[in-house]
Amino acid sequence: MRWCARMTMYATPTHVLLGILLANATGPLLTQYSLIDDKEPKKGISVSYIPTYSRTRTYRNISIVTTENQTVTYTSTNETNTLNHAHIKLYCNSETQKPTACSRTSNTTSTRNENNINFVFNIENHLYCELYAREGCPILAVNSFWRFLIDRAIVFAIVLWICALFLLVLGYLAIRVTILLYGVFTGAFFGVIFVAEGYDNFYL
Amino acid sequence: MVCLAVVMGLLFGITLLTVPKLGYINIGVFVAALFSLLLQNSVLYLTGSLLAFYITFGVTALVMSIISLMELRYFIIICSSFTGAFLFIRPLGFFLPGYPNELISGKNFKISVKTPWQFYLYLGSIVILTGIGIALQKCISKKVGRNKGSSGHYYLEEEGTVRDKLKKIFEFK
Repeated sequence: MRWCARMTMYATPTHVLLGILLANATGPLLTQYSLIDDKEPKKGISVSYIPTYSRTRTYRNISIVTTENQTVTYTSTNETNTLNHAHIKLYCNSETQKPTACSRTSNTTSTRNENNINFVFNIENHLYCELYAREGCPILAVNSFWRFLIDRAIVFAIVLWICALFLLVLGYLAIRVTILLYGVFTGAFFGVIFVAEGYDNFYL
Repeated sequence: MVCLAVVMGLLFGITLLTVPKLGYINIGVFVAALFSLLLQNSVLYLTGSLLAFYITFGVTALVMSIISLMELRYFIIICSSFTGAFLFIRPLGFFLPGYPNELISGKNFKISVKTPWQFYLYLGSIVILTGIGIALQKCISKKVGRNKGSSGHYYLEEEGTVRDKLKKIFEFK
């Protein structure tokens, strides 16, 4: 789960874009992530895009006679969704790199029943691709420090912008502060490296 | 973790202030690291190995360290402008797409995906902003220097040609 969450965070923008391109979605896009191999996260991730673009509903009344001779009537719904379904297996780049391959199947149907509601999926286009790219690699995808930075991106961005403006305008004029600033950056960098030694899997 | 990093940074920064020559070397090495990272993301990643990155970093760090010891005015102006431009543009990559994470690109040995085209826009912006920074700082330093009645070499620059300064660096006493 830890791996998956990390990869999802990193993979989202790229993969959603890929999904939109591949599935040519016209409706809401559902994205599901999972690991190709749960035991070996470095293998890559699997992404499914299910953009729904049409939905029809039919209602029917069902009567049930109970043991007390009471008749109970309730309404059940049949729901039909027509979908373009794209599925991508994104393998991490490796020595056994294969070329990208896509296959397409059309007009398949899948049914699911939940709480007496029949969901019938008419999958008009099912696009299945296998990609080999670095986006599939979980190595350093989002490490602890990077996640910390991204979670507080706006704060770090403002601090960096202030430093940037100072260096751009007064870098030479206030040379002492510039030296101090560079020292702080370097020291902070080595500080993070130093602290990171105490963390388990910090660089993962 | 961040507090400790900041404290260590401050301590290191204050230490550098007491030994300005080390401070200049630090500036040179820092800029060399930024330059190598940008180069890594733009072209060096095509080699599929980190060796090119390490060599580039080593060479640029050495060259920048030697230049920094000359205590040239333009060295500080160019370095601070370049760093300022980088620090201004880099955070945009937190919010906008297309800026490759340096930590990731540095760890991928086999790369088949090209750097996004947006990155070259970021790179162009850094170059332009560096130019603006240099012009601005040159202008300010001249103005301040004129007000102080000197030629603008108001802090660092010593008299002598570049050759004299190089000679001074490699002089063993």
